Amino acid sequence: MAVTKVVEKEKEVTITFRIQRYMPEKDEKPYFKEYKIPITRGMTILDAIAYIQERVDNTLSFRASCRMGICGSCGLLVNGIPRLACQTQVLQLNTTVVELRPLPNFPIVKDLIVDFTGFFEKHRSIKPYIIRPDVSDLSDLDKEYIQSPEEHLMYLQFSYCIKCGLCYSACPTTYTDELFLGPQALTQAYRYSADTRDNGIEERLLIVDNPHGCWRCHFAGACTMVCPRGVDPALAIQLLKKEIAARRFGAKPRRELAKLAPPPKEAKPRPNIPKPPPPSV
Amino acid sequence: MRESTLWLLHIITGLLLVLFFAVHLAEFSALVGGAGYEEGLTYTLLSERAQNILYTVFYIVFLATVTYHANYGLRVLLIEWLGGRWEKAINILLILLGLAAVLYGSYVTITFHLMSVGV
Repeated sequence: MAVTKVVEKEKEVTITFRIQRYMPEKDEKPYFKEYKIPITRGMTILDAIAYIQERVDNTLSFRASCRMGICGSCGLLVNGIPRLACQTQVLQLNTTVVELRPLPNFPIVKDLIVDFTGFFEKHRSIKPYIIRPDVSDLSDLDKEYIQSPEEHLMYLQFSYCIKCGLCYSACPTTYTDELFLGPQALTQAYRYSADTRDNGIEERLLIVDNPHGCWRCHFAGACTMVCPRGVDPALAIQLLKKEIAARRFGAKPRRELAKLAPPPKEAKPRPNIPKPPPPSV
Repeated sequence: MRESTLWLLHIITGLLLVLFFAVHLAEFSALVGGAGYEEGLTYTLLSERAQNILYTVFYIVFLATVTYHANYGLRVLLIEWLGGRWEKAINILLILLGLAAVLYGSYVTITFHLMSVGV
């Protein structure tokens, strides 16, 4: 007798989505529109807004890309808390009404889409790249830097940042001081400065040591609360302050710049292992 | 001036204030003795104390320290409250207010000293 597998249909729950709509050419100010849609277990906010756009209202605009928490495009204010739409399951919110708004502290482009220009400008201003005394180090592709696991751990968590802007939108200081660099840029200033391969700490400390830099942070910690990647920007900002204060008290940093290691010439590859493709860069 | 310099001064003045306030309370209670605040605090007593130039200098330094510490704190609040674009205006306003407070306070203290020594 054939075994018939009964697949039980997932229970559907109807959830009301209150979504902020705004079309700058048409609307004077943002307004809310409600959509009632069926939600099943496992559906994320991103699934829900995609559902609304495909089947209910195709004028709804939102930004998304990877739908797995890597690209940082789908940040939204979900029931008052900045979250990634793709990483938030609707039923886990435990409410029947979900309010979606664009991220605060950013200018709105349309509906749920915000303008990240200023945010990226601040990010660029802190020189978010490895600075070497000898630029040719960076183009020498045959060699690698020597860095111990301990040295790697000094900045590892800060390098998980995906620039989704959630910390920036949660920050009360960014809300009141529009020139404040923001937790994201300050964290990246620390991330590159703490990297032993980098020699740009003094340059970056001069950039963040201004009235709208790290001293404006009063440690609300909202950035750390909302980070979807487990980064602790509040910590990074305090560490930046510590670096500056140490220098003001005359303490000399005793960090050695990571050296370039020559490629292991003596090592012989085992037979029957195909050669890697030539470098494409 | 770099922000860290201002911040460092804020911390240093904060520590100094603890010391100055302790000195102020200690010499004050030594001055009035067991008489208590109401009876002990007389014009003659204060006038006698003001004859010592060290007290005059101490209170002017105390005033300058308090003014800097308070104004830096106020500046942080105002920049947050009004927004970063007002920073220059806030700086100028607070420097003027601070200078006015220190100058007026010094004028009073020095005049009292001169009156006490009978110039």
